[in-house]
Amino acid sequence: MEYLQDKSMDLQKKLEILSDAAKYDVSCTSSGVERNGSGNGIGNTVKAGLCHSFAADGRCISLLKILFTNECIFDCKYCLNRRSNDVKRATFTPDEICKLTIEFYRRNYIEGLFLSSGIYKNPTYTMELIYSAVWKLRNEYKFEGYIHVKAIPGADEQLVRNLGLLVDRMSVNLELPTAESLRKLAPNKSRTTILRPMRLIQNGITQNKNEIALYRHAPRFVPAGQSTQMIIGATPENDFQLVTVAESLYDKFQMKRVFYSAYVQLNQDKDLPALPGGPPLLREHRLYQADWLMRFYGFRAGELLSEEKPNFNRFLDPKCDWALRNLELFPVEINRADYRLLLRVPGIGVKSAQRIVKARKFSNLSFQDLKKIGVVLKRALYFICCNGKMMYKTKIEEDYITRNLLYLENQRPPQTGEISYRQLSLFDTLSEARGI
Amino acid sequence: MTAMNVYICEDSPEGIFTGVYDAWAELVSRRREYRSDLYPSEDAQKQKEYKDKGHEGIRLVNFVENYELFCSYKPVETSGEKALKVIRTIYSRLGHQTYECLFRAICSNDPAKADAVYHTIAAGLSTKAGEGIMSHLSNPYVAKVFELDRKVGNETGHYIEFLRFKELQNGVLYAEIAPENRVVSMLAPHFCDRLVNENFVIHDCRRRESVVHEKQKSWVLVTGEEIDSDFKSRYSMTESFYQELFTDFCHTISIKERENIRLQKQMLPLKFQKYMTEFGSY
Ligand code: SF4
Repeated sequence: MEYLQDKSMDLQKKLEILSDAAKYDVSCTSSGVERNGSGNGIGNTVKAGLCHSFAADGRCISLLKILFTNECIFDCKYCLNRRSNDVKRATFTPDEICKLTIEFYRRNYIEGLFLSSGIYKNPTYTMELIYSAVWKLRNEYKFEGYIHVKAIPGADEQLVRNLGLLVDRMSVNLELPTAESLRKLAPNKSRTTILRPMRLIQNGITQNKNEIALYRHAPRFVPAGQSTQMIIGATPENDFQLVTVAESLYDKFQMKRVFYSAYVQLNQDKDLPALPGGPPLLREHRLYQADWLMRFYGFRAGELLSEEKPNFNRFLDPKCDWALRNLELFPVEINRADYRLLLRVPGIGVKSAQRIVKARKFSNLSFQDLKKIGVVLKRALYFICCNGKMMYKTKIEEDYITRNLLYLENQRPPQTGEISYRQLSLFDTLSEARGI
Repeated sequence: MTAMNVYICEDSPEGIFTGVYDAWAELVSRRREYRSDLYPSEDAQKQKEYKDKGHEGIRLVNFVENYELFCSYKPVETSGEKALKVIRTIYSRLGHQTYECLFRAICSNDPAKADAVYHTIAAGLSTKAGEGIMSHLSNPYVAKVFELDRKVGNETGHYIEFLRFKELQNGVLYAEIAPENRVVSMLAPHFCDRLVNENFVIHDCRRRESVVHEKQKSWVLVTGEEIDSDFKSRYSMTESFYQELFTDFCHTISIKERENIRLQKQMLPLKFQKYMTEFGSY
């Protein structure tokens, strides 16, 4: 296979260019599959995923995130690598990718490889390049750690199927929430070419599950599932549209994760918004919170937002916001309430809710016990009672509770940004298993 | 009259489990005496009270700072056999998950751990809780074990993610850590599975304990040995090359428009950064 490579460029420079070009893809998790080493190679995977470092932007570094090449025949307006940009280009060889992965992995720098690419020549050719690197890494370098690759829309389907048997996770980026926005900002892409490989991967996963049920040793296809990402704030969609799209991706494509990427202005273009306040981080943060609520807390998009109230509250997280709009359900009796209702109480996470349900079998729980269990009482206290009593005399009244919760919010350490987005860390920078 | 029997046991799993054994055995024999000699006709309720108070009269410690009045201090001699009996009992009556919780609690550096472990076992065996004992968070001892288990588990998790190996001249991968709790042996299974074909050493420089893994073999814990500083400072030819590559990678991968050092510090406390390649620890 012929590689477009500049022999004079050293590995250091290539890595700089191709990691710089890859960093706007926000998915960074290494989760979703537990696999022990076979004994003949190097590596294993951990279901919850691991974060090996944190970059100066507070995002986790879990995988060696690189592009195969930043050459690209497409011209997506928001992207640094687009054809019309005059940037330095570089291309790895499969061996360089393998070496880097192995040497980083041995030193415990990373959990594995995240490999994406600009479109070089055509989608199928690009997918072949990715395939050749991954094949080598698995078969010649015996790497058994985590691999996440991008499926390139429009690539040959058989190639996608074959690649799925080598990797842990595949993703196709939805890029923008509506077909119209996509047409405007990514003229070479279309909704259909994006959804087709998504469906292909989904079907592959379903079929593989059946095969594994029949033959335990059948090779596994994308065992850590499929993810995707949307850019937030480059186009005019509201939060309600975004969560609705995310919900249908979870429902209809069985996505493992939907990632949201606050738009970072890299190019000047009349079709792109100017964002003098920087990337919309708070908005991204609210979307991750809502996403979490949909995936682990049993919330539906329509409960969180509506046509009438299409955007998240800037000041309160979506769970508090929901609770305040549904005060008639509170206070909830900790010693009796159904698990699903406990989950809906601000200040109670999945783990605490599970512990409550277990612990109350043995004795009636008090506020003191809840504290030990890990409930954030200063939030929860407005919404719960233990043995019929609330913690303090509080009014169950929207204005009153809102004021108190906002006060808590302000008691947090000073923020760099305009509004606190400290909890960011709890959502997008951590692997998915670490709860609220 | 002695109000409290204090058992002083060695700070190790064997030591503490032996302490549990001795304390328990003594309580049982004392109770027998009590019943037969002094109060032959006590009713069941009284006996139950006595039994409960019996455990309350026992304390396990790893060292004694101030000797107190009305306490009788009993040094415990570590016995692998007794410890094993206790471990078996925990396994069969309280389940392996409880055992793992207790084990992690014992690896913590908290001075109250031995006592919490004893009373958690006592509560587990003397009530119907059995395997569910770790859910009894309203019992202060269980809550303590729970808390320690969580702390030690978290620290183990952090080192699994944040420790860094350096390749020495002879190809051995060497990592140095300074954990608050005794986590080094809990790191071993993870890395042995992952790096089965590597020779590696993880060294806890606070306790001078190392996990040593030889390619394709099972690991051993080496205690009390200082690592030769000459040995650990001779890196392989390519070591600094990969260190630089990764350090650069960590810088490049950050999006400058999103910079948030506070968040970085919150996620990755400085005490870990100190030992990490990409933060300048070469
Ligand atoms: S396809 Fe579009 S988004 Fe991907 S590298 Fe090319 S220009 Fe960038």
